[in-house]
Amino acid sequence: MRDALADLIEVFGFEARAFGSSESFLAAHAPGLFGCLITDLNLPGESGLQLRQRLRALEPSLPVIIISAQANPAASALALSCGALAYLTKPINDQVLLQHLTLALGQATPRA
Amino acid sequence: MPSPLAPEMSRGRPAAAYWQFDVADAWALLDTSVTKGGPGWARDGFERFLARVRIVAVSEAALLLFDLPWDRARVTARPIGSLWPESGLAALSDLLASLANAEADTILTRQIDRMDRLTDVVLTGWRSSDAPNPLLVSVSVQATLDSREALLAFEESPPRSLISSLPIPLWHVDARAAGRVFDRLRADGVTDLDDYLSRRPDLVEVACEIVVVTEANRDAVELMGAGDPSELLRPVSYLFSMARETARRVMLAHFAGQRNHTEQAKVRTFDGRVRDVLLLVTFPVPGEQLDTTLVMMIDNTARLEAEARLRQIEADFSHAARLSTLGQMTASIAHEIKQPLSAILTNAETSLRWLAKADPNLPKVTQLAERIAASAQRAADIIARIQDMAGKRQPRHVQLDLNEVIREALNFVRHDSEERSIHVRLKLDEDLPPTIGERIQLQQVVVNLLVNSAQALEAVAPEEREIYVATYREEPGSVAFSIRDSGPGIPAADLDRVFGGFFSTKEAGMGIGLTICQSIVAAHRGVITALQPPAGGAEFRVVLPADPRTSQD
Repeated sequence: MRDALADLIEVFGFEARAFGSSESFLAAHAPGLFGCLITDLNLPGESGLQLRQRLRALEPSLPVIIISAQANPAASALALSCGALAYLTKPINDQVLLQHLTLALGQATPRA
Repeated sequence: MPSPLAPEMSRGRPAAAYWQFDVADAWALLDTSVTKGGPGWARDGFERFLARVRIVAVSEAALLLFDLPWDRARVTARPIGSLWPESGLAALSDLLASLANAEADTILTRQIDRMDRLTDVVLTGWRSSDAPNPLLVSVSVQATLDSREALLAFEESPPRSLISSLPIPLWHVDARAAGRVFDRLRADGVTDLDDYLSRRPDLVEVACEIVVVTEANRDAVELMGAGDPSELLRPVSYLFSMARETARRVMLAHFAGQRNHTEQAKVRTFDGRVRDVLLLVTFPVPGEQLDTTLVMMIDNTARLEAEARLRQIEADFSHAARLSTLGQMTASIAHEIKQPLSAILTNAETSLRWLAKADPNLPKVTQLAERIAASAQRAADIIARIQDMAGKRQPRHVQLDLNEVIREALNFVRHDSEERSIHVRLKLDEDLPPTIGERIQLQQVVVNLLVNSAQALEAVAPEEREIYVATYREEPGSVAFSIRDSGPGIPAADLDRVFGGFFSTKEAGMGIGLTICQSIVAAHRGVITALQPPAGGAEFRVVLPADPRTSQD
């Protein structure tokens, strides 16, 4: 799914980098380096929510989109209250993702 | 035939029995030996004495009292030492020797406290002056039968007493007529009856007509579908109506002097059904009643039918349990399938977007299409796995790697565990020898135990939810796995009961899972145990035999 999303984002015209875990992402993270973070709730090791918490400290303005297989209203409410930009359930609707990404990256239209 | 125990005897009242002995040879010995009768015989002396005593007559009561076979001819031919209990021999020989010095018509007595089942035994001996043979001594034996001992002996005694009480179809058959035919054949020089019967097959028919049933018990009547025992008391021909070959083999066994003959046979009952039975024939040997050959039939049909039904019920039960487990895992299963489906969708959409561009990145689209195919295959595999688990199947036992079985089972519950924040720790012995078993059934056991553990861990805080799965070699020739959780554990008092069925601590639990686990493990000739490990929680250990063909131990 990681690769699929990366490819989708690229066809949108954005650049994407994929990480296998929260830890590997944080290792590569530096404020301002990334425009948006898309993460699954379920990660090996630290969960997506925990990652969101960390980012609050590291880069509070980084938009985070959370995806998950669970269509659990409680989980979605929790995620949004933690400041996630959006909570999307799998299978991902590409149009919806595009809209959120666009919003997150503050651009009216993606590069062609 | 008199009843087995005369009424007086069975009530423990004294009974008398008569023996008559010819003591000519025995008394002759007395003249030549140093001591002439009286107490204090050297052991050797009295045995030699008794060996020369000949039994001339014995009364029926004596036969009963001494628990001897009815065949008098046999009794009188045997030495008295083999017929009387050892505890009575000294007194008898003393009595007989003493009479040598006594005048005719003198009565002498000897007492014996206990002689086998007889107590307060009084031997009375005399020589009759008006008897044709002056050296004929009569001895009457009066004794009290120890009824408890007698009952024990009665129960152990030859079949004449058991026929009505055995819960197995039993016939008494008088095969002496056939025996006489065999004797004549032997006298004519026949040594190979099989060969003879091939040339004269009608002899089998003849034998079936001259050998007759003299008694049959209730179970025999039932087996044959008869209304009345009397219907069975006729030539044995009807027993072999479907199997003349069986009759022939029984004859061969009889001719060869075998003690027993058994074989699987078919019997046609009087009401036309065919029964599968195990036929057992026991021929009498000298000393036993020669007119009684025992025939028993153990009905296989009922047993085989019951076994088949039981196997079917077990399979159904096992299947139901699998469906139940799968039902509980619906959310897991849905989630698992969603993964490849999501990937397919996203990749397809990406492909379409590429293809819609002025300058499509075709190599990329090819790559995406390949990924779609791979994801679709993964989804198909997941479904196949589930169908496998859910299916009703004939068990197939093959060589298995227990580690793989466990990994596959873990796959089933992986999502569920993640949902519940359960940390599963694996410690698999990579050098584990293979075992033989039914893959799906063993997976069912592992999944069941994992699901139970997961449910138990609900009672514990999320960060403390752990399941430890390990495989190891318990001892040479076996492999084992254990599943331990960090939950509340099983109370010591319940450790034995958990497999008993309908034992559940869950509100909606049916508690059949562990019973099925145990029955599957037993069918694999293994053992499953519930434990209270020192670290707390509950632990289940399953030990299975290793594949003997590859055992290196």
